[in-house]
Amino acid sequence: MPVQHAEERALVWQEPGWDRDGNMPSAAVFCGEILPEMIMALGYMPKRVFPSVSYPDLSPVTLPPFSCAAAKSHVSMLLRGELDDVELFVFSDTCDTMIALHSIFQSRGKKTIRLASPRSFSTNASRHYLLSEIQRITTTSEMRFSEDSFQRAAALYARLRQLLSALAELRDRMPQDVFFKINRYAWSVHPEAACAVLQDLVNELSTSPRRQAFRVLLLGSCVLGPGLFQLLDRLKLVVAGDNMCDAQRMNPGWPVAHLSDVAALTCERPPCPCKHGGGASACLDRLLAAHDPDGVIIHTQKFCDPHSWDLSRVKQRLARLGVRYLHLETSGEVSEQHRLRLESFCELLDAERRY
Amino acid sequence: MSRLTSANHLKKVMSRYYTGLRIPSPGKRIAWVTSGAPIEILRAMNIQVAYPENYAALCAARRQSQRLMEIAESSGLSEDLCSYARCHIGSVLSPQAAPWKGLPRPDVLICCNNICSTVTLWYEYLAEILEVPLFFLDTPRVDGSPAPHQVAYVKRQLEDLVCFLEARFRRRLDEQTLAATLKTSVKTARLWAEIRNTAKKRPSPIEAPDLFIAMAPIVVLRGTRAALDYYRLLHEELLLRIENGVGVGRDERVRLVWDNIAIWHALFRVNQMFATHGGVFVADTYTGGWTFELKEGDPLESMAHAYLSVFLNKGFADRLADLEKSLSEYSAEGLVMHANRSCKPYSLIQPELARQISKRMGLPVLLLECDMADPRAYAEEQLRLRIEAFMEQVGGIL
Ligand code: SF4
Ligand code: SF4
Repeated sequence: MPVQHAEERALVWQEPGWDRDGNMPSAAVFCGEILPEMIMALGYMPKRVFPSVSYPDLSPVTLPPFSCAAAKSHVSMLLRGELDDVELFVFSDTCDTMIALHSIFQSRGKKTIRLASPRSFSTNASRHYLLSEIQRITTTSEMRFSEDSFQRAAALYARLRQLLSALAELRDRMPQDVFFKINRYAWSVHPEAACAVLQDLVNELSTSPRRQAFRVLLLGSCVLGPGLFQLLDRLKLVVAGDNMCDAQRMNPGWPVAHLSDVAALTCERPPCPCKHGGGASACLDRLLAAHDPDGVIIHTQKFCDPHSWDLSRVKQRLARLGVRYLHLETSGEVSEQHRLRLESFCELLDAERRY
Repeated sequence: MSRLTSANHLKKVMSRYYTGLRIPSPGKRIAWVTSGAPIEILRAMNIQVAYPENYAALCAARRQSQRLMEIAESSGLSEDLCSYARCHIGSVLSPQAAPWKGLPRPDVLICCNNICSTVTLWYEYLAEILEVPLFFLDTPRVDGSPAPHQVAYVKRQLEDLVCFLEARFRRRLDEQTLAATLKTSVKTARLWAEIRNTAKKRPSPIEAPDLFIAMAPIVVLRGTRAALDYYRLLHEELLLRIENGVGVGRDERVRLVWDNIAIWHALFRVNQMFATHGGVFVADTYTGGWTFELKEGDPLESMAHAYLSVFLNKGFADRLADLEKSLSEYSAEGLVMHANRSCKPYSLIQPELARQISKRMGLPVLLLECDMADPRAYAEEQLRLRIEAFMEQVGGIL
C-alpha cells in the first residue's frame, strides 16, 4: 500500500545516507533557497539537510545557548561525524544564523559554497544581482558546470516539483507525519527515486477519501521532528497548506529550464521571512484565500529572529481578520504543554463550528 | 579611571545634536537610519538623521531600557529579539515612557542591512506602525573584498536612494556638497582610527569604555564639522597623555581586547571587575567598525565599496584576521568576548572564533553571556566569578 510504502521509505531515509550516489559525491544543502538543479549540474548529488531532534547535543561547544534548535541540530550532526562523507556544504545568506553556520563549517575545514543572495527580491536590480551571483557560483568554483547537465537536472527536478505539488493537494488524505517525512525524503534522495515513490502515492491517494478534520494553515519556522504532526493527527487537525521552508515554500510547483529561471523562481517563491517584504505576513491573505482554513497554527523556534518578527505581524493580521490562531514556540520537540494548548485550540474550533 | 577632559566637549556635542533634532524649523526633514547607512547622501541633501540604535544604547546607559522593552514585549514582540529594537520600539509605542519622549517622528526610514538581518525586519515593522516610507538598501555579504557585481548592485541602489530622496523631498543632491561631506567623513574616520591606535602605547592613554562613549559622533555625526572638531580635541589630549606617560589612571598589568557591543547598562561596573585585577581593555572590535576608507573615483561607487566592507558584513576569515591583528598589534594578553544574546551576527560565531584564537595564538579567551541593553540578562555574581577565574589565568591575580 503506497502510504505504508512511503512511510517505510521515509524511515529508511532517516538513517544518515551521505555516501556517493552512483558516481556523484554528496552535497549537503542547508537552505531551500538553493535550487538543487544547480548543485547537480556542478556534479554533486544535492541532499537537503533538515534539522532533526537528535542526540547527543554537541552544539554547546560551538554555538552559544541562544541559538535556534535548527542550528544546534546542524552543528551537532557535524560534530558527531554524521556528515563526514559529505564533500560539499552549500549555504545561502538568509538569516544571520545560516550565515554563522556557514562560517562554522568553513572554519572546521569543510568545502563550502555560499550564495551571497540578495535580501530583497522585489527590484530589478536584485534579480539581476541574484543571477550574477548564481553565475559566479557556476563559473568561479573549481567545479565544472555545464548547461547540458543543468538541463538534465532541471528536467528531473521539474518532475519532482510537479509530483510534490500534486501530493500537497492531497495532504488531507494521509497522515500528517507521512507528508512531513515524504517531503523530507524527496529532497534528500536522487529525484528519480523520489519520483517513483511519489507517483505511487499520488495515484493511491487520488482515489482515497478526504479525512474529516479541522483544516489548518501551518506557518512559521521549520519543525524538527514528526512529533507535532503526530499530535495533529491525534487531534484530527489536517494541515491544508503551509509556508514553511522545509515544505511548501520550497516547492511552488513550476519548473525551471535555464539557469536564468533559477533566479526567477527564487524571486517568485513565497519569500523567506529573512527577506525584505518576506514572511508569512507577506502572503497571508493569499494563503487564507487558497485554503480557507478553520484556523492557523504558527510555529516558531526559540531564538529564531526572522520568524519571531514575522509572528507579531501575522498575529495582528489574523486578529484583524477574525481568524483563530494558535502560536506554539518550541525548542525542537513538542511537549505536554504544547499538547494541552493544541487540545484547547481544537475545542475552540469545535465550539465555533457547532454554534 | 582618569577622566578625559574632552568628555565635556563630547557631552555638549551630543546634547546639541539631540536638541537640534527636536527643534522644529521650516522644511526640516528627518530620516531614521541604521548605523551602517550611507548618511553622507542624506547630509548633503540637508536631511537630519536620527539613529534608533544609538538612542536605544543611550536609554540602556541611563538604565531606562527595561521599561521600554517590556512595553514592546507586551505588544507581542519576542523577548529574544535584539534589545535595541525592542527598546526603540517601546519608545515608539509609548513615547511618554521614553527619555526625551523618544526620537522625533521621521519623514522616511533608511535601512541598510550591512550590519545584520534584524534591521531589515525592525524597519519594516516601523514602516508599518508609523506609516512612513522605507528605503531598503541591500548590501550582500562579502568575503574579503566586495566582488564587482556586488559593488554594481549597491551602487545602483545608491542611485535609487538619491532618486527616492529627491522625489520625496523635492530637493536635489548637489555633487559638490556630497564630495565635501564625504571628505569630512573620511577625515573623521581616519582620525578615529588614529585615536584607537593610541592605545597601542604602553601605558594606554585610553580604554574601551572611553571609546564606547567617544564613538557616538563617528556614528551619528559622521561627515560634520562637529564630529571632526571633537575628535581633534580628543586626539590631542591622548597625544599629550602619551607624551607624559599617562595611562588610564591605574596599574596596567594585563592588556585585553573586548569583542562585541558594550554592556551599556553596566559599562563601568563590568570594566571595574577587570580593572580591580589590573586589566585594561586597550582595544575592542565594535568601535573599529567605523573606520572606513573611500576609494578614489566615482563617489557612489566608492560608497558602495565602503558600505559593503563594514566589518559585520564580512565573512569569518575576515573577522578572525581582524581579531588576530588587534590582539597582536595592541600586545594583548587575553580576549574577552561578550556573548551578546541580542546580536546574532556578532555572537553566534564567537565560540568558533575563540577556538581558533586559542589554537592559533595560544591566548586565553573568556566568553561572557549577557546583553547590551537588557539588564534582565545580567547576572553580576556569575560574571564576577568567571572574570576572576580568567584574570587569574592571564596573570592579573598574583
Ligand atoms: S530561519 Fe530561524 S530556525 Fe531557520 S536557521 Fe534561521 S534562525 Fe534558525
Ligand atoms: S542584531 Fe546586532 S547588529 Fe543588528 S541591530 Fe541588533 S545589535 Fe545591531
